[in-house]
Amino acid sequence: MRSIWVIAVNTYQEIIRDRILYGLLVFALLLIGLSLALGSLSFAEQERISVNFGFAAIHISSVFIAIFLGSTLVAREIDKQTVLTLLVRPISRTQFLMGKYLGLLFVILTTMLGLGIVLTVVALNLGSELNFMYGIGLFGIVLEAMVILAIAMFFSTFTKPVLVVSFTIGLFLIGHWVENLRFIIGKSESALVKSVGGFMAAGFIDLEKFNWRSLFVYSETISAKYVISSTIYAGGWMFLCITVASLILSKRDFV
Amino acid sequence: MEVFSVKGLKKSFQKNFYSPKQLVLKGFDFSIKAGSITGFLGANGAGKTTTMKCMLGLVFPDEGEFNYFGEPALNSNIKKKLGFLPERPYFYQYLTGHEFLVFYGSLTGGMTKKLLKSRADDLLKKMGLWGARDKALRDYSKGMLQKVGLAQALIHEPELVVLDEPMSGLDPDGRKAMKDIILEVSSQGTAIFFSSHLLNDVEKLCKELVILKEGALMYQGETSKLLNSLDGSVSLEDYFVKDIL
Repeated sequence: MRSIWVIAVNTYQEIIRDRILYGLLVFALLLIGLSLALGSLSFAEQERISVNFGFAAIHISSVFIAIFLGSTLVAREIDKQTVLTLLVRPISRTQFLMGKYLGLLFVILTTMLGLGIVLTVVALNLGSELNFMYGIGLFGIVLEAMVILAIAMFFSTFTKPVLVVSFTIGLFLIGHWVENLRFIIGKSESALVKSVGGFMAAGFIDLEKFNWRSLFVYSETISAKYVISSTIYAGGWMFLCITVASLILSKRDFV
Repeated sequence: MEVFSVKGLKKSFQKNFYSPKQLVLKGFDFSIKAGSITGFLGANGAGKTTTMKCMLGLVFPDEGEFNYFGEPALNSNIKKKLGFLPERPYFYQYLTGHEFLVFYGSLTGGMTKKLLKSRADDLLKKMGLWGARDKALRDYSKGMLQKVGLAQALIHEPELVVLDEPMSGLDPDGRKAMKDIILEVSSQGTAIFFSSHLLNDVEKLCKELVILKEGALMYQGETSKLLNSLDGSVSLEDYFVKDIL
């Protein structure tokens, strides 16, 4: 456990000092700024539009960090051979992977906390009355970022960063489309659509399960049972991705 | 007493699924004595780096009976006794020299934070890097990186240090500093196993040699015995050019 923590802290330090992160953060802050500008175009719905757009900004930036920094997280260690000096220490390959994962996760949580505070200030200034669903919306974004990061890490154990980014963006898009696919399957009478579509719907992660961003904006609620089952669902996917990634890494020769 | 030995080390690689396996280590034995400085020689592609990586568990051998400090497997306790500096080391750019050493020391464990920090400072002084203690590694020169790399291999006071081409790319000053450190560490009882193409340095530093040619063992034993077996006027370099390359 100590080794995982040491690697996580080092990973966090490295990324926090990297300029790429700040580029992504500026992009996120600009998006939140844009949300204010967009909101001001509407006479009656300024608060709703601004907060909705602010949630989208945090969502996009957290997913971007998970994909783009996650894609190089393990690959860069292997490419630059820093992994050699790490794995000679008394740590297992699984511990190495877990440490890298946690380190970047802490970065995502830190940036989300910062952006969340900015959005909260914006929302309060516009007269929003924050409630529990506001926090649930942010929690859904955290869950999605955790899963996307695990997927990026899984791919990065056996392919190059460019392909990791492509594959992970592909799964991200499919993940938000699975719900629509289920709808089409339900309406279709074709056996082929039902079997192929059913297979795809079962095999790909459904990222809409964590989409609670509009609940606060539209004053809707969600059951605790659904939140818990979605959290378990996210945990299952993370476990699967990291376990398979760990198995791949444990068989690998670092030539 | 031996700190490491292997019998029948074999390793093959396959470029693609459809290409035939290529045997790069052809089944050989060698050992490293406690407290010795052992030079590991061979032409490029002879299998030196692959052998080192097999020793350290970074590459899985096809066959080979290993012995580390009397134990057959590379477990966590054994790893605490090993240090490694790879060829052309690249380290975390955004860490300072001091943070970098503390990080590697923390990974090994067994030292308090205070002790670790003071050990890191001692090593930085010894390597002549004290002035660059708080500089990020991205601002280090090649020679400085090589030295801080050696320091990370020594931070946890290992009993066997494996160095892959530790002197490559260093200027004469840097090479002298590296040789002095190797001698000092060895005098404290640590076994050093290092590969190099700088045969004059190897001849002066190493009491023991392991020589590979195309994945097979050509010689294992004392440097002086090898040199005595040759014509008196022949240096290690002459022997190498004639028989190994």
